[in-house]
Formats: sequence, C-alpha cells, structure tokens
Amino acid sequence: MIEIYDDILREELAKIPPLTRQTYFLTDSIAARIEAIMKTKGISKKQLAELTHKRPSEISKWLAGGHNFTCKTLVLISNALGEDLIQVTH
Amino acid sequence: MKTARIVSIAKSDQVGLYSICFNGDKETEFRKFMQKFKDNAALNKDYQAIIHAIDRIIANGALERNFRYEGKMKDNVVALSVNSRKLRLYCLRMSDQILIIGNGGVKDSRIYEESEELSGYVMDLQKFDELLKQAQEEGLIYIEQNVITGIEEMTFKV
Repeated sequence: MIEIYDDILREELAKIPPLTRQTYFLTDSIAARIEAIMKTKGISKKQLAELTHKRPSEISKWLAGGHNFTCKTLVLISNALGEDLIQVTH
Repeated sequence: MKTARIVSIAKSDQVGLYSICFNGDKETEFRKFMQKFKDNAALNKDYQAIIHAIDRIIANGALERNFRYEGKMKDNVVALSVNSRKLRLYCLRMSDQILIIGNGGVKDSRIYEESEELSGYVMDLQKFDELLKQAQEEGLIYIEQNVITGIEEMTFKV
C-alpha cells in the first residue's frame, strides 16, 4: 500500500501521464535486468563501459532507470553481456 | 544553532521516505524544493525527471543504482541520478528501504563544492548523517525495514 503524506508530492505524482509512467517503469525493469546480469557475471560498470565503448557515466545513466533505450543500444548491451535483455512475445 | 526534525512524507511496502524540517518550519526541505521548481517552465523537464525518479523509488525502493554518491566516502549523502544536466536533489540513503530527501537546486558549476547553495544542502545532510548514526548507536532510533522508529519524536541540534 502506498501512502503519500505530503500534498504537493501527491499532486505532482498524480500529474504524471499514464503512458509516461508505463514507459519509465519499463525502462527501469530493463535497467534492473542489466544490473542483475552484471552482478551474476561479475561485470563492473567500468568493464561494461569498455565492452560497449561508452563512458562509465553513460552506464550509470542506463542503470539509474528512466533512460529511454533505443533498440540499437539494447542490442549493444545484450551483445556485451552475452545475454538477452528483452524478448518479443507472439 | 539550528534545530531540526525528520518528518515522514511517504511510505510504501518498499520504502519509507522522510524529509527534514528546520527550526520549526512548516515546510520540509523537499517540499521547499518542489515549491521552488514545480512551476519553473525552463527547468520543467529536469524537475519532471526528478519526480519520475521519486515515483519509481516509491514503487521499487531506494536502490543504489538510482543514486550517485556526492558526499564523502564515509557518509550516505547521494544525489538522485536522473537525466538532468541542470537540477540536483540531494538525499541521505540509509538503506534500500529508507531515504531522507533533502533540498537541491540548479547545478551551474562543475562540482557542488563550487556552489554555496548546493554545498550548504550537502553539508546539512552530512551533519544529519552523523546525528542519525549517533542516535542509532545510543538506541534512540531504530531502522526497521521501511520505518525509522522513534525519529518523529526527536529534535536534532544541527
């Protein structure tokens, strides 16, 4: 159960459009999946940065949640980690 | 000397969110932050990114990956890690389930130490971090999952 005691915070959260909310919860799930694979395989942020030819700050941005991944970036990360990140269902 | 209280602002199964009230203010530091930026058109995108991050934290907890460390190695002071080049919101991340949200502002220098306003917010949280550790050691407060038991009865001298 969620209880918000600050009325301004309650109003601000209520203003979030459902589509926006759904989108960033999806991107957050992707970030959680990336983090879980990194932990399982013992891959650090620095190593993932090297594997993807990105800066470590970019990896932090991906993992923070809310990042709008492109398909190209997902493929890049997936290849670097050697695991599927998302699956398309039929 | 400033006095302050810690006030509960939101609770879910995953996390307890708190903020700080100084000198008998009615407004918490996080509420002041929202009031300062919620109607600022120029910073709207950055502000929304912060509100969205708070929404995710309420749903999933104050996970380490949601933050970047801003204070010193030994403290729990963090900034919300969001896709914003301009705004920073500083917090004390006590655990995955306890977050104390402070104040923040426009980051117009490379590091927060160069901004008097931002370094003031960080220093307040660093001080609070010490006071909370001390109160825990003295058995005055207890962190139990998403609740800090005893915190709302306490007044801290900052």
